[in-house]
Parts: sequence; structure tokens; C-alpha cells
Amino acid sequence: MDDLLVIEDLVVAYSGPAGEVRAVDGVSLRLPRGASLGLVGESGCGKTTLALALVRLLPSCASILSGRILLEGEDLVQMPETAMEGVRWRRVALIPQAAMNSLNPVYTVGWQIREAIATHERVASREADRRAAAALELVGLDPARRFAYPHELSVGMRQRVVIAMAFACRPPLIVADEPGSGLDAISRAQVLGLMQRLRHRLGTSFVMISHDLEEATALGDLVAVMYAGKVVEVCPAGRFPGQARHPYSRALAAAHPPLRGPRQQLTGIPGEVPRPGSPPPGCRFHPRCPEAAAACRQVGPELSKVAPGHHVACHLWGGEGL
Amino acid sequence: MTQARVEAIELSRIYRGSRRRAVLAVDRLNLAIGGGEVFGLVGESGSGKSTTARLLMGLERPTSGRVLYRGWDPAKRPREFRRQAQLIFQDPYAALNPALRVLRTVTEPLAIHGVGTGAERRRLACRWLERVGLTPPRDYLDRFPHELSGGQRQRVAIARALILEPAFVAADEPTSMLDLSVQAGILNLLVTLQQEMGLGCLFITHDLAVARHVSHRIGVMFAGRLVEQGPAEAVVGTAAHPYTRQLLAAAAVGVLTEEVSFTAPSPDGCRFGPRCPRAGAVCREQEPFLTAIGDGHLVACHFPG
Amino acid sequence: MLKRRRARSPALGLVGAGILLALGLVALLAPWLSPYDPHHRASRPFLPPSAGHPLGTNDIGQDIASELIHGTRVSLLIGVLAAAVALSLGTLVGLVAGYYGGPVDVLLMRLVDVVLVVPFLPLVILLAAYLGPGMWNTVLVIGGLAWARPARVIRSQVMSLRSRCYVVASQAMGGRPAHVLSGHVLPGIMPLALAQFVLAASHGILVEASLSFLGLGDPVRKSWGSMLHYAQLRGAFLTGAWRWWVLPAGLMITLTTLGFTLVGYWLEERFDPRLRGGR
Ligand SMILES: Nc1ncnc2c1ncn2[C@@H]1O[C@H](COP(=O)(O)OP(=O)(O)OP(=O)(O)O)[C@@H](O)[C@H]1O
Ligand SMILES: Nc1ncnc2c1ncn2[C@@H]1O[C@H](COP(=O)(O)OP(=O)(O)OP(=O)(O)O)[C@@H](O)[C@H]1O
Ligand SMILES: [Mg+2]
Ligand SMILES: [Mg+2]
Repeated sequence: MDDLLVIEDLVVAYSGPAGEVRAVDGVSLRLPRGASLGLVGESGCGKTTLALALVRLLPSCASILSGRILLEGEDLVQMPETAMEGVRWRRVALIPQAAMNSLNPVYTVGWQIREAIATHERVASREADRRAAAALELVGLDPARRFAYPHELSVGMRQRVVIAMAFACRPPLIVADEPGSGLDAISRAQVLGLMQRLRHRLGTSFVMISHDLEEATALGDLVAVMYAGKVVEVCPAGRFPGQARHPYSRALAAAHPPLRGPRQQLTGIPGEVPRPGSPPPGCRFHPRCPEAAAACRQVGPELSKVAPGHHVACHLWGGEGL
Repeated sequence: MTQARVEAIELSRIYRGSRRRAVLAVDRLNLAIGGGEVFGLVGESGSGKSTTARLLMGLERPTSGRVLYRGWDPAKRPREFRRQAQLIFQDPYAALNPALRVLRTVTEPLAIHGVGTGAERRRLACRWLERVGLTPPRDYLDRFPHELSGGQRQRVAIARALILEPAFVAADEPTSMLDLSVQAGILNLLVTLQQEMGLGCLFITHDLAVARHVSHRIGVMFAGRLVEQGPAEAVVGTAAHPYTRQLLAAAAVGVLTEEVSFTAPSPDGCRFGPRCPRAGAVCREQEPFLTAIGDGHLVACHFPG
Repeated sequence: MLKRRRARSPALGLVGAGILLALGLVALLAPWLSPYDPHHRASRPFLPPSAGHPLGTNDIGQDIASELIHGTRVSLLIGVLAAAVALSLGTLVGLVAGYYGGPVDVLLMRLVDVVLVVPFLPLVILLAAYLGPGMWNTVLVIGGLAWARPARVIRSQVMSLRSRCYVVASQAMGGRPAHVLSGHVLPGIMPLALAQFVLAASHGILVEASLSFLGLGDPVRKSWGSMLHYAQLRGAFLTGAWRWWVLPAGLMITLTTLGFTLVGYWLEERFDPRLRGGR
């Protein structure tokens, strides 16, 4: 199959005074052209690190230790920085976490969107301005807001400006790191709708990082669940979270308060998130897993197939190998 | 009636933005939050929720109206007020000083108010980091903000706000970057504090389910005004304002596929008018005011239902 | 968006740092490096360069090379002290003006404007002449007039820091101005202040040389400026002696200023908030 993005056994580590911390530890994923992937996982499990690695914008203290990132067959890990500059924004764009902070405080947001458009296409300034206004309207903002400076906008409005900017460049792959956090339900639904239209019209693929299960499945053809630096489950979006197999995925789904029905005590997932520096032996989830067996304490499970397109790394679901 | 912990009376804030556009961020807002009460504030992004929080915390001067804390003016006794009322900022990437380690950040309120010795402060910091789920706390004390993930930063900010055991907290989307399992822990913590210490809380969120879960009452903001307010169950269960209805619908559906276009509301009419399915002629001419439709349930709409 | 501006290569900054390091060593080790005591007559006056006197002797028979080496001490010391005075004043003014804003800011900034628009050198000369020669007077005169530029630069940085969320957060927790300023604002302007300090030191050395050249410096200490003063007085500019009497001192001044400036601009660029931004 024609794969847009293939990640093979990627390991990303932060080096600090306490030694090496593997925030992403052997992640393999595959994204067919035009398909989208929702990535969920507990806070601190390495989602942002993975996203930054995909566009090679990791901070200087982090490095890719091994693995490959193939974008349309080209390995981004080996690519020199100068070539990478041509790839970023043109072929893969990142909407960073807390995107609102990536706006430049000294220019109006309209100016910044125009700049984003002008660096990729030759357009007259009148036309660029018109498109900037249209881009704002697409994400549900008053076009007159393009004359505002970032500090004059609310956090959610700034978030939408950055989203509008990433869309203005029309790359085939957009990595969105929690794009909906900080948006109200309507704006978020609008942004998701916009992404869906882009997908249909232009075939744009998304890697959608989110802690909101709805958001992760809204676009996703696939959903991947990360836990402590590893992918523990990959499944078709339709099967998530209803038919999710991994105990962590199921606990995740139970932790959201319901909108209707009686109020109940939220359970969350008891226990502590393992430190990225020293994960527990065996399955990394076993200290918190209600169903942990002896094998789970010793051997780390590999991803194995439980249904077509559905892989789980859990001893309880030992299906056929990958 | 017992005295409200925090009260806003006809509170307004107008920003004069670039190109002389005036933005009515908060418009004649009335609000009272009691001790032991969590007031959930939801609404469109840009509707003035954060501005309301900043106004209540005295970080911004209202254009008109005033704020009372336990019946007195916070500006008159700033030290006492600042010790008892804390704000959890919306954006944890900006709210933590990038040059300070977590220990310094979390214990800053203690240092400011001269609470405890160095060792005691450290112990308190550990205890609160643990309570917000950053375990083991020793792992985090010496980190800089850039060494934390988004959700971890957010929890550091929460620990910092709670370490003084305040009587009132304005929490501005405190769980926006947390996954559900961690969020559940934080929400439970807030509920515990509210029940045990009588914490009063303004809880701003985008998640209606979360708002319903933690709050006693919910207020819905649109374009600077409270358009609906009432007991949490009533607002979510029998929403009367069309905007609240749309919010609930969007939360349930998840994706809105039709394209939107922005139409400015008429100056005298209802702000929601251009987007309202029920809007009639009166909505363009006259702004509706909050009126009671049930037990403590208020709505500002000409055609509630 | 998210585009990282690549900073200029640090090579020039390193060159500057190298120059400063070398000069610092010369100043420290002056008594051991110099062949003669610069205050004593070593030979006959007006000798041209020779093996014993690499740069010849001056009008009263002192070894010029030794003068030059010892001059490094005085020139550097005065430059650095003057910069310290200027920076302390400038930082204080910048902090207060930037943090409090309003009428305080307006008042202080008018003062800065006044100091910036009056012709600098004539005023320095006037003041130095009025106070009389002496190292501390030189330091005070230069420092007392050179604070305006750093004050303005620091003020604008403070204004940008003041509206940062974490500074507001500190205020919201009840932090008094002293706490907020020392805990959050001052560390934020430190790099900038360092850059300004280095630039002010370069400026200070130049001004000190000018004053000494005019005979307004400290008469008992040898500085490069005072060497030039005597060279000019004894007509070295008219005879061939300028090559070993004037040129080396002039070169030293140029080199030092260059070193400070290179380091200063490098620091300024590195810590410029507009270049730092981003994530
Ligand atoms: N510069 C760094 N040095 C050391 N550790 C780091 C650094 N940056 C991140 N980490 C650690 O790496 C882990 C993964 O971080 P990452 O930002 O990828 O998490 P995340 O999945 O995006 O979480 P969140 O949902 O909270 O944003 C975290 O435990 C974090 O503490
Ligand atoms: N400093 C400012 N100058 C001008 N306008 C401002 C300023 N701060 C806020 N505003 C405007 O005030 C309105 C309310 O902003 P506020 O930050 O309170 O929104 P919010 O409800 O918190 O939104 P979000 O959910 O996106 O955080 C917005 O229209 C915003 O553009
Ligand atoms: Mg993240
Ligand atoms: Mg806000």
C-alpha cells in the first residue's frame, strides 16, 4: 500500500543530569496516504515528543537514538537540516501544543497569516489579505480580528489563528498536538469539521494528538494509544473506545464524566505513571493493571493482532503475531 | 442568606484594541459564589471567561462595577485577599517562569507570605505535587518547565495555586491539557477540597460534562454576557438558551460539517442573534435580560425553551 | 510561525572574548610582563626602538612598552568601573520606570532623553575639568552620564516582562514589587544587562582615553590616553616617533574597544528577546 508516513522503531531520548530519559521508546506506526491517525495517551507519555520528532523540531537536549521516519518514502531522520527546512510546512506542518504561544507578539495576527501564505506562494498582498481574512472566518473568528495583536485575543482565539495558519499552507500531512484544547465545543467541532473537509477535498492526512477520545476518533481512521513511551494499542477508529482491548485504553474511556445520567465518583486510573527514566520491568502498565498476571511482571508484550487492523500489546490478548 | 465568598456586581470591562475597536469583554456581569460552592463557567472562546476571572482576582481594573470578597473590597486589604484567593492561569506554558525550577515555582506563594521554613516548604511542595499526581515528587522538584510535558506543567500550576490552601480559587481551564485519567484525579481533588475546606471555586471549562460533574451551578457566557445561569443539572438537562443548546449538541456530535461565516450582531439587539435559529424581529432591536424560568435558573432570551 | 531565526555565528563573539581574555591577562600580569617599572627612568629620553626598549623611551626616558602594558590595567579598570556605575544606575532607572509605568516612567524617560541629547563628550570634559583629575572622578563622570542608554534598553525589556503571565501570576499570589522584581524581572534582564555592561565598558574606555588625552585623566596613573597626551605634548605626532609612541597606544585602545564591542553585540544578539521568542 502507498504509505504517507511510516515510523519504524523510533527511540527519542532526553539527556539530562539524571541521565538518559527515553520519552519515546520503540514506536512503530504506519499511516496510509489520506488516512488520519488519532494518538491518545496519558499526560507525559511522549506524545508531544513524538510529534516534535516527526517535524524534527526537538529541543537541543533531545535526540533520535534510532529508528526511521519515512515521509513518502524519504527518511526524515537522516535528512540534513537544510533539506528539512524545505519539508517543514510544505510537506508536513505542526500545530504545536499550546499553539497560542507560537505567535509573534509584535505583529498583528493578520500579518502573520499573510506571511505564512507568502512564504509558500507568490500572491499579491491584497490577495494574501483576503485569504487571511477567509482563513480566520474558516476557524470561526471575526475577520476584523486580523488587525489584533496576539495579546488582544483570548487563548482559544489565538489557538484558532495558529490552526488557520497551518491550513493556509496546505501540506499533505498535518501533525496537530492537542488542537482542540482550549476551544469551546462549538469552535472545536468547527475546527474538526474544517479538518474533515480538508481531508476530503485535498486528501490531507492528520496525526491528531489529543486526550479527548472524541477528538481523536473524529478524524481518525486509526487510533493509537500510547503508554509510557510505547504504543500499546492500534485500532480502527470505529472500534475505539468500545472494542478497545488494552486495559489502559478501557480505563481511559471510563475516566470521563458522563454528560447525562447520574453523577458518579470518577475513578481515574489508580497508581502512578511510571517515570520515563526507569519504567517497571515487563509490561509498563502492570503496576496499575487490575488484570495483571505473573507474565506481565516479567515480559514486555509485543503488539499482536486481535482483529483486522487491530493490534494490542497485552498478554491477555495474545493473538497472532504482527 | 449566607454571605457570598466572592461577588461581582454589574461588572464590565471594555478593551480598546488596535484600530480603535472597542471590545466589550465583560458586560454588566452579576455573580455570587458562596463558600463550598463550585461555579462552573462555560462559553464560547473569547466570550470573556478569563477576563471575568482576572477581574474577580483584581488583576484588572473593571471599566465599571465592582468586586466584593466576603463582603469587603479586596483592594482595601490586598495582602489578606491575595493570601486567600488564588488564580490558576489558563496557559501553563506562559504561567511558569521558565528560569525557575519546579520547587521554587510551587513554593513561591509560601515565600511571598512567609509561611514555613525551607524544609517545611519543601515538604509541602512534595505533598501537593503528589496530590496533583506528579509522583514521585522528588523527580519533579528540580526540573525546569521546559522539561515537563503540557499536562505536567498544568499540574505544577495547580499545585502552586492550592499550596496556601486558599478560600477561593479561580481555576481557568485547569484541566485543558490533561488526559482523562489524570483529569479525574484533579477533579476529585477539587471536590474534596471544596467539601473539606469549604473552598469556593470559579471553574472555567470548555467541557460541559466536566462542568456538570464538579459544579453546583453553571453559568454560560456569550460575547461578554451571562446568557444562562442555574443549577448544574438544570442548565445541562433543560437548557433554555439556544446557545447552550448548540453547545450541548456540538459536545455530543463532535464535528460540525457546515461552513460558518461571521455576521456581526446588530448593536442594540441580542448578541447571539445572527447565529440563532429562533431569532425574530425583537431580537434585532432589543437585548434580552436574565429572567428566571425556574428555581434559580435564569436565562437571557426572548424565546427561551 | 515557529520559524527559527538562525543567530549569527558566534565566531566573532569568540574572537572578541579572546581579545578580552588576552587583555585581562596582560593587565593582571603587568608587573611580570613589563621589562621596566613604567614610572622610573630606564634610559635616555626619546630613544627609538631597540632590543632593550622594544618601543623606545618617552620624553623623560621611561620605557614605552612597560607604560603600554601597565596602561592596560588602568584603562580596563576605569572602563569596567565606569560601566558598573552606568549599569547600576541604568538598571535601577530602567526597572523602576518599566515596572511602575505611568508618571514615574514619563518623568524618568524625559530625564533619559535629556541625558541622551546633550552632547556627551563636551559635557564629560566640562565635568571632569570641574571635578579635577583623578581616577574616581573619571569613573563617576563617565558612569554618571552613560547610564541613559542601558536604562532605556532595560526599561523596554522590563515592560515586556511585566506583562508576562508568570510575572502577573507572582503579583496575583501577593508578591510585593521587591519580590516580583528580584525574583522574576531582574533575572529576565540579566543577559541584556550583561550585554549592555560590555558595551558600556567599551564606551568607557574610549571616553577615558579621550579625557586622559586632553590631560583631564589621573596624572599619577599611566593609561593609554595619558601616554597619547604626553606624546602629543612633546610633538611625537610631528616627528617619526609617532610610529612607536602613538601608534601602539592607539592600537591597544582600538583593540580593546573592538573586543568589548564584538562580545557585546554577540551577547545582545543572543539574548535579544525578539530573537529568543518561539517555544
Ligand atoms: N527537556 C526534557 N528533559 C527531560 N525530560 C523531558 C523533557 N521534555 C519532556 N520530558 C519528559 O518526557 C516525557 C514525555 O513528554 P511529552 O511532552 O512528550 O509528553 P506528552 O505525552 O505530550 O504529555 P502531555 O499530554 O502532558 O502534553 C515526560 O515525562 C516529560 O517529563
Ligand atoms: N488585552 C486585551 N486587549 C484587547 N482585547 C482583549 C484583551 N484581552 C482580552 N481581550 C478581548 O476580550 C475578549 C474576552 O477575552 P477572554 O480572554 O476573557 O476570553 P475567554 O472567554 O477566556 O476565551 P478562551 O476560552 O478562548 O480563553 C476577547 O474578545 C479578547 O479578544
Ligand atoms: Mg504534550
Ligand atoms: Mg480564557
